[in-house]
Amino acid sequence: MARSVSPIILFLLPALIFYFVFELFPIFYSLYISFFEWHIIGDVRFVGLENYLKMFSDPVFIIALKNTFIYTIVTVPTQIFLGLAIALLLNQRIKGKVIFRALYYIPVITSWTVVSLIWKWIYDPVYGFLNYVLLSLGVIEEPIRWLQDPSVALYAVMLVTIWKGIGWNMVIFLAGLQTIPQSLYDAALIDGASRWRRFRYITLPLLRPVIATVTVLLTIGALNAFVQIYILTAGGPLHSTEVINTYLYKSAFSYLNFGYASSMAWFLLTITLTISIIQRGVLSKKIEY
Amino acid sequence: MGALPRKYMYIIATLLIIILILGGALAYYVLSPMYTPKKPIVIRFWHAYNPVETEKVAKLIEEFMKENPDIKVEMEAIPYSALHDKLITAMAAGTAPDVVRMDIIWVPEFASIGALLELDEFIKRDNIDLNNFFPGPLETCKWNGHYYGLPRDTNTRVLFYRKDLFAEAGIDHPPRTWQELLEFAKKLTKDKDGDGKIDQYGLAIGGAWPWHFFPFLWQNGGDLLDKDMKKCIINNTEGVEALQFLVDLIHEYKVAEYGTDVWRGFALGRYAMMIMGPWGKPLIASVDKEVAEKKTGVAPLFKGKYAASIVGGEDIVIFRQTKHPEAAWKFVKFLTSERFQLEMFKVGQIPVLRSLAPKLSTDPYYKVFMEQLETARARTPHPKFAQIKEIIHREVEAALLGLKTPKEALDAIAAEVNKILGG
Repeated sequence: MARSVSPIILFLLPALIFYFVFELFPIFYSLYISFFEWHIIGDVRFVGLENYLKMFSDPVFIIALKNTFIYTIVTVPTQIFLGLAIALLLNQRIKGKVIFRALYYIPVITSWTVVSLIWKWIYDPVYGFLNYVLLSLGVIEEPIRWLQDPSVALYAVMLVTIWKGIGWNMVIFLAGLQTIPQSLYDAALIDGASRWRRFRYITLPLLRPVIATVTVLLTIGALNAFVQIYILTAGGPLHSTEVINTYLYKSAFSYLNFGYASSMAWFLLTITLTISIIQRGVLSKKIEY
Repeated sequence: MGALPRKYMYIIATLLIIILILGGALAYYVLSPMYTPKKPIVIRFWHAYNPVETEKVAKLIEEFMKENPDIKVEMEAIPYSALHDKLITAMAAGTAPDVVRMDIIWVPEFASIGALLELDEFIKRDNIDLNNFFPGPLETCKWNGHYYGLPRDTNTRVLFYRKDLFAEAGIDHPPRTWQELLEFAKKLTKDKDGDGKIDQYGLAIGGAWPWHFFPFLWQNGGDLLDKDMKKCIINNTEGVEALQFLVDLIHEYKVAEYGTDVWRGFALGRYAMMIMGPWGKPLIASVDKEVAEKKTGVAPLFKGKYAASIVGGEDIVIFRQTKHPEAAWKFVKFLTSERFQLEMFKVGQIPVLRSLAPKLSTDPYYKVFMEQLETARARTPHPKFAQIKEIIHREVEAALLGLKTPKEALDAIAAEVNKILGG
């Protein structure tokens, strides 16, 4: 075996070097930094766990933590529900389903930056498309400040996330639906099972592993949301859309507090890992036909 | 991989790597003496010039390199919004550029963390006449009594008004006082199509940053910090009155609107007045050329208790990580020279040299800015200004949106800023 491993490693070496230098090293270096008061240059002071303890007496961090959870709890189930619904619709014999699939998938392949900038314009209180439509239809009397009103802004941001995420969910669920044997449905039909019962007792249980995977991946994505929020609101107004990532970015790059920012990053990693492990435990049971 | 025995794969891979390394080395030794007889010093220059300006800068740098064949300037244009964070990252990685044109408000921050090279000795040695710089911009290069840069360009905010809309409302001059501002704004606010909604506002308020709020604050006699820079006094009576005035324009009299990209609304006739820097005209022209050329008037800002506006602009600094301070200094001298400043004025960058002042006053547009610069003030130089400005924006915006009273908002700023000053 030893002889066969060495050429493999040799071929992988360039990629591995990049991985160590640009991924692993910074990740663990940030763990090291998180125990220091670290401002790029100048004196570095060891502070032990101070950065970690500071988080829980920092009101902005508490708000960011709360918003991160709200963001996750709302966007993950909504994306799964809508993605599955559209996948079920497009899995049937309907005209133009290829076009629909493509349409729903376009937001997915568009970069977050582009999507966020487009939505920033859509939400603009004065020149925005959304207010224009709603005002013209008489749905609203006064223009709504979608991204500037603290009671609305977080929902406006979540809507963008859901809008962009549906297509990805749809594709994964479509793939999952294709793996369910048609014979099961045929048998159920002969037994006179209704549409709902076929969905409830065949589709849903057999999609379980797919739903589990999607849930874990979406949760990780939601807990780590950054680009769309940073571009749309940068955490404002009054921290109403502040999530952990936007706050840690500002702490590092605007306030030059890299130690504190690193400790937040590791806290977020811990939460993400814990939740993912619990989700996997709960959701991934063996399926039996 | 079945066809080729593993032994050969191993040999081929090794050979490929050796050939690559040897080939590279060979090419370097054979070719480099041919093209670079003497290796020039490379100066990396970062800036946030817009595309039009960048083109001009590139041409001027070509000339500089022809005159100084021992220096090669590699410039990089970085969007303003990304430059600050990119500098921080580069510094952490030890790859900071040599020379940077940076926002005047960043100089104290970078100087206080020891990122910038102190220029006092260079200035003394080369007899740089500091009196030839306008005092406002020069002051922004100073931190703790030392110079960490030289001024590059300056700007300030003045009043832009729609001459056609003023004529329509029967007003023959731009407002000179807060009373006139309110009075005119009332006349200029209209519901043109009679649907019960206002579609022309007297004044646009383009943001809630210090950049937007401080002229009003200063005009009313308020300030961010006290004289010793030990205490935040933004929430004193003068401060509250100033913010109350803005809030009242929006909510009480409904003659002003708080929005972003207000130049667009100005060009489209939604706003009769806005407050903006010299880049205002090109922006208006990008929407409507005719409005920019024929219907836009500029005037110094109205006065409150005092006349005041805010100084913006950029300074040239050298990063301490540079390996070639002498070459960098030579380049800095070029960037602040009369010749460079005058060329850049052609693309809208206001020079900072007294000796060029007579040339500036001949243009009626820039004349207003030059006049305004007399009363324009610099933002408080503080190393934590990046953080302070976020706090101010958050709270002033809350007041402008009617979420907090001016007093509540300013009290919140004072509390947080005092905490920063104390710790």
